[in-house]
Amino acid sequence: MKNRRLNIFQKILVILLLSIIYYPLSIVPSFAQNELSDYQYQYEQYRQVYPEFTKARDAFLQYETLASQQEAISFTKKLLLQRDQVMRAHFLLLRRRLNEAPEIVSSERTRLASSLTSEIEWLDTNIKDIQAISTPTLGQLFELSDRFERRERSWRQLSYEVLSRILLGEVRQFQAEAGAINFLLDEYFSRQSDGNKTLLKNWLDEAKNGAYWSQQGVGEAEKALTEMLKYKGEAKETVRQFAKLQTTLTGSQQWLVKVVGFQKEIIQKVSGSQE
Amino acid sequence: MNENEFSAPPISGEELPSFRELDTEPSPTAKKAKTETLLTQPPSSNKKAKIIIIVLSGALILVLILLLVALVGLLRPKKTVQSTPTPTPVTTVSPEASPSGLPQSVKQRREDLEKQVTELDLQETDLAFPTLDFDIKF
Repeated sequence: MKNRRLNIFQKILVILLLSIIYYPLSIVPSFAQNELSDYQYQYEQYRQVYPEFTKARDAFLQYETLASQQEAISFTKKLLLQRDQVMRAHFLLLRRRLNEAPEIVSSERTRLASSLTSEIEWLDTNIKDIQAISTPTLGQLFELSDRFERRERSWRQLSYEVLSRILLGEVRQFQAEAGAINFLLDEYFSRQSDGNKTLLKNWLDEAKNGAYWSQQGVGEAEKALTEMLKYKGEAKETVRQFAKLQTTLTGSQQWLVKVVGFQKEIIQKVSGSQE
Repeated sequence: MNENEFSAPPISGEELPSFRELDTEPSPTAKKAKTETLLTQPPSSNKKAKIIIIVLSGALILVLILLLVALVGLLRPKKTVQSTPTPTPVTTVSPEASPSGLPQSVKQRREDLEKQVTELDLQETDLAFPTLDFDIKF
């Protein structure tokens, strides 16, 4: 009877320990998901406020009455606040993804995370400043809006740079893994007799060739990033260079698909000959 | 005139004790100590009872202590030392490719990589720069 009671206590203790270990781990993914959800929510709120703002603005411009002016002021303030919230949530999400992304040089990661944090703090202050004005004039609101708009180019550059580095890191990670598998296959063939390895070695050479071209694609994408940064957030060229980066990385991805395809053929052939 | 030494009548009613030398009377202090000693010393039968009581009490306490020790020992988790025989040498599969075939880990890594590469989303629309009005003036 006593042994049974002890086992029950031990089971309860194990369950408690597992819960204590599991609970913090379960919180981590929910934080990243929260940041995405928050950003999507804030963006949706902005999309709802914006038409109301344009309606109030157009009514004021048409009628120029005191009532329409007050309405325009109210919706302008609301829009400015919501616009700040969207940018803030965007940077929070970027920072989270940057911290989780693989294959990013540590110094780069730290620099970019620090920049994002600075902008988030600036937006926090700006939001408070807008909220602090209880009865603003249109002039005051436009001044606050100017502060936000002056940072557009630097924000665009920061945002696109962070995103580019995240994408580059992901492709590099897969390239490294494909290279490691090629190496293991190479080692395997070095132990085989000549009769078996000719055809499979040819396939392995194709896999290595594909890995090489994938790496070349990443090199081209990095050049596109360097070129993008030269434009310092200018909208048209930044978007153009980023699109070039994405296209080049898509090419790298396609080469990696071929690499794993060759590796699959090799492994199937080896497994088939063993049976 | 010879008087009969027995002529005198005895004291009536009582017989005089025969003459004898009286013991010397003990001194008062000695007497007192003796009295006290006599008073403190239990009688021999009481002494025996008390000794038995003491012995039994001691035995009872000992039994209680042994019971406590036994209870503590039972409540403590038992550390059973299992004696195992000397393990026989086991050949472990090397992670590197062996002449007999490819390790399963290589196959698994390739499958995982294929899944990740095909699922890679390079558009990342969630992270795109938001489309906002950066010119709110009228």
